[in-house]
Amino acid sequence: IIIPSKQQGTLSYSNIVFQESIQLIIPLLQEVFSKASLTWKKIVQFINEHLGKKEQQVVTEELRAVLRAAKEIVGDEYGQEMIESAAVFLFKIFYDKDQVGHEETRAIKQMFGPFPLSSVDAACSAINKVASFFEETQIETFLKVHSISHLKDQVPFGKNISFSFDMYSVDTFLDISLKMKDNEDTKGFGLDY
Amino acid sequence: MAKNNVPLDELQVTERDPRTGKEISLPALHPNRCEDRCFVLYKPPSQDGSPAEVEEYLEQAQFIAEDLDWVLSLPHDKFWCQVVFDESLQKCLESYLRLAPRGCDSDMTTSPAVSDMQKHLHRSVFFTFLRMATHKESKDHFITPAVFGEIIYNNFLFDIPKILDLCVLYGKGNGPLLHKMIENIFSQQEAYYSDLDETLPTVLQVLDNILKKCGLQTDGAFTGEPQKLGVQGAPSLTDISLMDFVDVVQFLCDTCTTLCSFLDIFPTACKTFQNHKFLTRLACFYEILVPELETAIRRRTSEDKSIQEDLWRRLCHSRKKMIEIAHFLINYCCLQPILESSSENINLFVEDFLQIFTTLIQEKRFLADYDEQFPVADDISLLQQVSPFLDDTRTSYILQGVESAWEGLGRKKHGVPTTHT
Repeated sequence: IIIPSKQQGTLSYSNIVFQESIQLIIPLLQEVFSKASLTWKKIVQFINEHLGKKEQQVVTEELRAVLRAAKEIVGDEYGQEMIESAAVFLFKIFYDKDQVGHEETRAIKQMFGPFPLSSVDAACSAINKVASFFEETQIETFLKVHSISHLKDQVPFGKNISFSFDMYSVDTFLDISLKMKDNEDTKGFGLDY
Repeated sequence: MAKNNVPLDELQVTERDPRTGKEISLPALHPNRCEDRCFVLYKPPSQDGSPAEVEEYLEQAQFIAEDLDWVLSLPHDKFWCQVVFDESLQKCLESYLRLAPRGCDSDMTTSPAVSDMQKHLHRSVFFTFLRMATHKESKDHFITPAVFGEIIYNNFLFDIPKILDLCVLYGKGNGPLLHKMIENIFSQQEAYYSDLDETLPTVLQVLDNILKKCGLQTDGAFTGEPQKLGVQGAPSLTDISLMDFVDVVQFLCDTCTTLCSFLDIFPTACKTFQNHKFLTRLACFYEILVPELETAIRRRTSEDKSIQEDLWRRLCHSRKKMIEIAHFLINYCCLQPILESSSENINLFVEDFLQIFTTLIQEKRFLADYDEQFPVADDISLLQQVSPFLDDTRTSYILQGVESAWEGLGRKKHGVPTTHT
């Protein structure tokens, strides 16, 4: 069996010897990614939640560039899910790096095998532009928070229960008559005196 | 792991003794099965904190977030070992409930990283409590209800102050879930009702203390006891420092929001509140405090306008919450039973309603504000419909009292008053 170069990295990741069937390897990489708690969708959602509309437009282009680079690295035979997982992988590697260094090259090679350097450069540059819209610790915290349950077998309690962050706040009293309109009726209630 | 429908409290597991290496059998709920993990205490993010403070917060919160996510990922038996035998976990959770920023706190300008981390913690703490309030997690993972009641009570996993904090922190967005939680806690362990009963004098004491801080009350006067002659009163509201004044208003706001959220989430508690004549006390408290605070805020002209406006908003919010508390009590203890009861029982609740409002007539400010939000005439109309032999003299007396409360304050009723025949 001739194993495509992009899949050789999977072998080193999974410790499966070269001769073993490639059929075993693809699902393995998919399984590794499927257990990750951070998804591309979550990254996009996080970015959109924290940026204004104008900034979102700029960032959307950069995110597309990351996906394109991920597709070039992984190859398009595995489908969108795999490409997005690779984009997450790249995002985690490059969000705090200005350029592609030796460590990063090694990590990508180990995961995906030989890759086009131009694609990795493009991914690094695009991710850097995205990161420039955020504070230094902001993305780091987001990634940490979403990596906590990474690769855990046990589904955390409450994972499928919806939760609201809504809290009691001091009412603005636009809708109730207890507000300062008392001062219309009585002896100058309110702050306009 | 619980198998064959054996409750956790009866389950035995086989584990290898780390010292001898031999396999031993021990109860699934056993201190030896608790993991050695030191949970750190929660410290809230500081407002406009320095980068070092932000980093410190993020680091500490990250520890808690990871540890709580780990706890939530534990299998059922290991989770319960941890919550029962790991004191540091309970202290950590308690510190969060006590110190976590409330929605009514002053607006905090925190960095997005802090805000994200706070959200993560907020969710994890809630789900940890939710899991602790659940005696049946699945078909195979459950605890005998009576034993569950003993476990949560004897190990102080829940107590009344914690329940109050849970309500104010999570009641707005997660009311139905929180209601189920608290209802389950009280139904599996009736001792919580006695605890609530014993807590009520302390709650009343809190109201008394607010009056004292405002220089409006000395010991015993609020409860109708004679005041000692020669006792030096606390400084008046206009004399106290701005910081103390802001503290008083914020404390009032927090107290009212907490009590209101608790009664909203767990209305069954209304009965216990009324056993202590809470409504009468609250109305009296309102009558004494509200006009004084309003005057004091208006007079504090030398201070920052934005602070003054914030104080006013908090006072209005507190007023609204006190009126809502009163409505919850009247609704649960009188109106709801009237609508649900069989005819022979209705008279008891009608009588309670009339008694309450006859007492409230003297608290004019409170009565007018209550009537503005929840028209008394509408309730009396309901009574007239369900109880044809209602004493008209008494209802007229109450309605006149309400009218007189409005007139006494020089206020006009808004909207067309409901007419009754």
